[in-house]
Amino acid sequence: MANYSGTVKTVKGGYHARILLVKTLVYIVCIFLTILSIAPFVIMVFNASKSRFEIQQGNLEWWPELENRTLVSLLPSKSFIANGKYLLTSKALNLPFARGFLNSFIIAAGATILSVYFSALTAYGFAVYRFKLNKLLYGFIMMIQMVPTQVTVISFVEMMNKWGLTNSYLPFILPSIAAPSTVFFLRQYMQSALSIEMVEAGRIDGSSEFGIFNRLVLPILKPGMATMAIFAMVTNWNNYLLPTLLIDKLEMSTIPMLVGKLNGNKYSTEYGAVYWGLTLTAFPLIVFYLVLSKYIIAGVALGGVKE
Amino acid sequence: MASTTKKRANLEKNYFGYIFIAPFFLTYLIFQVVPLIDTFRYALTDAKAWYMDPNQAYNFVGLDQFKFVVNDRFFKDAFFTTPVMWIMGFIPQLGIALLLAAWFTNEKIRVKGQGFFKVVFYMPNIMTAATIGVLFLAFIRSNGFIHSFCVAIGYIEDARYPITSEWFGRGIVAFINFWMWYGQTMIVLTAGILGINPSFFEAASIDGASGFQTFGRITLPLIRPIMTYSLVTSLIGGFQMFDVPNMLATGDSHAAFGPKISTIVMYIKSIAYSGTFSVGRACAASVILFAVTAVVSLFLFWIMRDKDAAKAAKAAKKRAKEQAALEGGNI
Repeated sequence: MANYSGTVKTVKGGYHARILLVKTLVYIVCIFLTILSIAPFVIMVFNASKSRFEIQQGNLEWWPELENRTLVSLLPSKSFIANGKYLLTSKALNLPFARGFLNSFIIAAGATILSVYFSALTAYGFAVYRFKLNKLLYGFIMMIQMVPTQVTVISFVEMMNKWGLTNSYLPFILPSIAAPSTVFFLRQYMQSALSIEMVEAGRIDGSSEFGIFNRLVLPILKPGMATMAIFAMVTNWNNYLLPTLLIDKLEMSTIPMLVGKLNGNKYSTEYGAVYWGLTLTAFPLIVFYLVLSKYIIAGVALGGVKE
Repeated sequence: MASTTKKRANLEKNYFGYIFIAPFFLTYLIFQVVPLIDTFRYALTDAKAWYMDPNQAYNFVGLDQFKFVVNDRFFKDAFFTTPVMWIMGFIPQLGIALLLAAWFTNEKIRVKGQGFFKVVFYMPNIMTAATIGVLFLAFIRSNGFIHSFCVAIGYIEDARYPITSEWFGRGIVAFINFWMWYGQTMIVLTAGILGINPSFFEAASIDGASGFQTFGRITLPLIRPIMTYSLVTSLIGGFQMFDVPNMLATGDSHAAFGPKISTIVMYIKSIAYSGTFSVGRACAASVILFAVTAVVSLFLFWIMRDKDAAKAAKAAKKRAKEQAALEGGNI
C-alpha cells in the first residue's frame, strides 16, 4: 500500500513539473503579447510629450555606439502641453479636432440608432411571422453578410454625387438601416430571449403589432441591442474610406479624416504634435473600450461580430 | 375550435412580417443592390467620375476596361501584394490564436488572468485603423521607434537612411493586421472550444489520450466550422484592405516603399478619383475583386467542409425524403 502511494507520488511529481514548465511558458508568451499589444500606445503617449528635437534624436538611444545620448529617451518628457497647444491652436495645422469629434459622434450615433432599431425590427419580423418568403429572405440576409462592401464603393459615391449628397452625413447614416450581421445576431438572440406566448398575450390585450414590438419586445432585447450598438458605434466611428470620398469641407471632417491629414507633409516635422493628435484620437476609444470591455469581449465571443 | 380561430388570427397577422422587414430590404436595395448593378454596368463603359462629367456622356466599350485593368502594372502589383500581405498576417494570427485558445481552455494549465489578457489582446482591434496606420508610419520614418531599432540591430547602416525595402513595408502591414486581429480570433476560438460538449474530452481522457491527441483529434475537428468562418471573413476583409496600407503608402516621403504596398481598393480609389478619373476602369477592377473574393471564399468553404458530416447530412435528407414520400402515400 505504502509502495503504491509512493509510485503515484513520483509520477505525479513529474507530471506537476511538466505542468509548471508549460505554465511558465504560457505566462511568458502572454506577458510578451501584453507588451506587444500595449507598447505602441505607450510609446505614442510618451512621444506626444517630447519636443521635435527629442523625437529626432530617436527612440533607442541607449545603444552603446551612441554614447552621448541618454537612456531616458523612451520615457516621457516635458513638452506635452506645448505639443497640445501647437496642435490645437497653431495656424499652420488648423485641424478642427473639436468639430471632428462632434462630426464623428453625429455619424456614429445616427448610424448606430438606425442600425440597431431596424435590425431588431427586421429580426423580429423573421422570428414571429410565418410568411411565405421568410426562409428565403432570411437566407438572403445570411448570404449578403459575405458580400465585400468595398466592391460598391465607387458606384455608391457616384450615386451620392448625382443626388447632391456630397458634404452630407446622410450617406453614412441612412444605409445603416440595412445591417445584415446585426439582424443575424439579434435573430439568434431572440431565440433565447423571446417567447411567442408573450407576443400573443400582447395581442389578447389588444396591442397593435407595432405596439407589441415597441413596448413589449424592445425592452427584452435591450442587452442584445446594447452589444450590437457598441460594435456599430466603433465601426462607424472608425470608418475612413467613404468619408474621404464624400466630404471635402474641413469643418465637416470626421476624426479618421483628420488623422489622415496629420499624415500630410506640411506637419511632418512637428512629430510631437502628430503623436499628440494620435493620442487625442485614440484616447476616447481606449476609455470607451476599458469601460465596456466586459460586454465587448462577450460580444466577440458570441461570434456575432464581423468587420 | 378555439385553436383554429387563433391560428387564423395569426395567419392574418402574418403579412405584418413583410412590413417589419420592408425597411431593411428597401434600404439594401437602394444603397447596396443598385450600386452593385451600377458597378457591373459602369465596368462595361468609359464612364468618368461624375464631377468630371456631370452629363454622364459615356459609351459602351465592351470588355475594354477589363483588358486595360488586367494589363495594368499597378493593378497586377496590387493584386499580388494584397493577398500576400493578408496571408503573411493571417498565418501567425491563426497560429497564435489557436495556441492561446488551447492554453486558455486547458483544465490542467488553468491560466490565471484570462479576462485581463483577453481585454489587452483585443484592444488594438477597437482602435481607428487610420490612427494605427499613421502611428506605425511615425515609427517607421527616420528616427521613429522601428527605424531606430533597425539602425540599432544593423539592418540600416546609417540613421539618416530611410527604410526602403518593399518587403519590410509589406511585413509591417502584415504585422499590423496580425496585431489588430489575433485577439479577436483567439476570443472566437476560445468560445468555440468552450462550446464543445465536455463528454468528448472526458471520453478522450478515459481512453488515455495525450493533450496533443485530444487537441488534434477532438478540438480541431470540432471547431473547424468556426475556423472556416474566421478564415473566410478574414480573407474577405483582407482583400478589401485599405486604411492601414493607405496611411503607410501616402503622405510621407520617408516611406520609400510606398507604391509597393498598394492594395486593390487603393488602386480602385486612385484610378476613379485621380489621373484619368475613370470610373469605368475602377468598376472593372471592383468586379474582378468581387469575383475573386467569391471564388476564393467558396473554394475555402469547399476545402474546409466536413466531408463525413456532408455525407451524413445528404443521407439524412434522403431518408427524410423517403419518409415523407411514404407518409404522403399513406394519406
